[in-house]
Amino acid sequence: MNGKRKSLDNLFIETVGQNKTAMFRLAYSIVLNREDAEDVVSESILKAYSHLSELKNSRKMKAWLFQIIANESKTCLRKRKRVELTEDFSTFLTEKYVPESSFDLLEFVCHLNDGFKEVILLYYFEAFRVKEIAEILAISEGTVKSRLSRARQELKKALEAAQ
Amino acid sequence: MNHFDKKIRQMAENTPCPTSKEYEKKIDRTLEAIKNQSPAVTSRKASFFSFPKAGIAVCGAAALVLISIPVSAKISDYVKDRMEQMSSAEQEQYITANDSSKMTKEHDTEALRYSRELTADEENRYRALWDKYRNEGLFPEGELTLTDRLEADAAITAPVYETYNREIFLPDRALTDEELLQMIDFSEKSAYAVSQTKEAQESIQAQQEFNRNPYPDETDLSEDEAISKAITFFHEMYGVDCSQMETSCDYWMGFGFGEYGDYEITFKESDTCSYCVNINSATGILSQLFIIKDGIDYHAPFRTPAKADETFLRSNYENAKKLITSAFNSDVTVTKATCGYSVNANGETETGCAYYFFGLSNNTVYGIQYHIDSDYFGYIYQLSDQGWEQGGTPEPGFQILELEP
Repeated sequence: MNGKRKSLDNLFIETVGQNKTAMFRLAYSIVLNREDAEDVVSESILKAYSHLSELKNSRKMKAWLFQIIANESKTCLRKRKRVELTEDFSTFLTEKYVPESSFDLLEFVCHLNDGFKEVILLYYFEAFRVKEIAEILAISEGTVKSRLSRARQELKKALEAAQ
Repeated sequence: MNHFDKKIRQMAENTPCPTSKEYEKKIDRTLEAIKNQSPAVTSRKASFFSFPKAGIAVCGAAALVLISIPVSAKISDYVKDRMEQMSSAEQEQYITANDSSKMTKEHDTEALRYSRELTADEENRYRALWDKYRNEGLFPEGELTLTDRLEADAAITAPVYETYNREIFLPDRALTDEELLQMIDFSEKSAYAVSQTKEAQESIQAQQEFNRNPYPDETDLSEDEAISKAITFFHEMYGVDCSQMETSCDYWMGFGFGEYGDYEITFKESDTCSYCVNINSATGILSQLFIIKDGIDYHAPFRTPAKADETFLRSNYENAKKLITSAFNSDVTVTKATCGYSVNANGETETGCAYYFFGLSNNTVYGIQYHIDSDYFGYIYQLSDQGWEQGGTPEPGFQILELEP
């Protein structure tokens, strides 16, 4: 193994180690099941590692890792068929979410529909920029902004309801 | 000013997401398995450049904000002279070697990397030599070798800088003082060369401004001007006079450093009718616009499918075009246009809507949602301000009609 791969491997392990919680949070927000989320993260790490040499820019490793987790989470959902995926995101909030007196942001995010939850999570929790989120989720920057805009209107309403 | 985004970010930071011990163990086991696959990993820890900030200099324009001040303000006469003696061609070489075009703007991940950690002895000598470089004018006799990309099986016999990953590959043996000095020299020259570029200067200024005032109260557009613009938008685009309606104005923070926020102006005519527009506080152009009319919130996603008639959607294009060009007072022309919708097995659009996409001569791209049942354009949003390629690709699964601009 040459020095370059050594370095990339180390960076990979470091990136995974630093983002254990964040990776779980993203997977959990999509699959809404603790065990599945753990499996998704574990499988994503192995998958990412096996494709590590394909990563063109090591500085984008975190974003790339999150992209794999988002995709694996959706694959998990499809396999499980517990939640119906809608490509057009025709509904926004699932029926389950009821604002409570003590507002739980993560709980709120988890009850957003697919497409919206990833955007909110990556923007507010992981502080990715709009451009990066667009790359991670393979959607346009405009779509990211539009979803952010819609989601934060709902967030505002939910916060007001909780107060 | 609305600090909503800031508040949510803080809330997110304080939101716990406890993971189980089993999860931690599972990840550790996975990483352990990786380490076992890669024996080399266990031998050394990843090493980012861990020297003073001036040493992170080689990171390109975006990161230069971190190092420009040491270079320009604290630099010794020895180093200053050496930097200023660089020819334009030499400076260009260092700029190319630190091309930031592929970099993200996360400063902490942009640092120069080494293929291995420096040993304690090397690091001590590095610091001492850097001190002498700056304060005594001790410079290397040669230069660090640069290469675009190393061969996978390249033998590393001396330090070599690979442009592709901005990484210095080091031999396994101890580095000599001359080699350490070459690395220091490379850092300083790179920092200086990149800091002289226009982009770096602008980036530095913008960052300094942002640091001074991350959430500016003052914008290029005043609140009154924004409201006045909003009234004009609705008058020109929809023929509606909002000037006497109940008005509210919020300010949304921009989406990240260097980007201005939006004014969001809402005119309420009644409980079932309101007009809302977001206006970029720097440029004054339309970010998005949505309407609640007859109780229908056109900003909310729709769920009721509707029949998509291609002929009608094509003929309806002129109405959509008139709407978007009137938002710019006809100062722009349409350079590209499409209509997109996704249909189900019954030939209906799943959302009951079709979307017109416009590339405009000012490089902006807009989407206009057309609600078929109510025959209304109730939601307009900017997709990009950087041309069609950045914003013209709609959701996957869309059927696209090419339209004559």
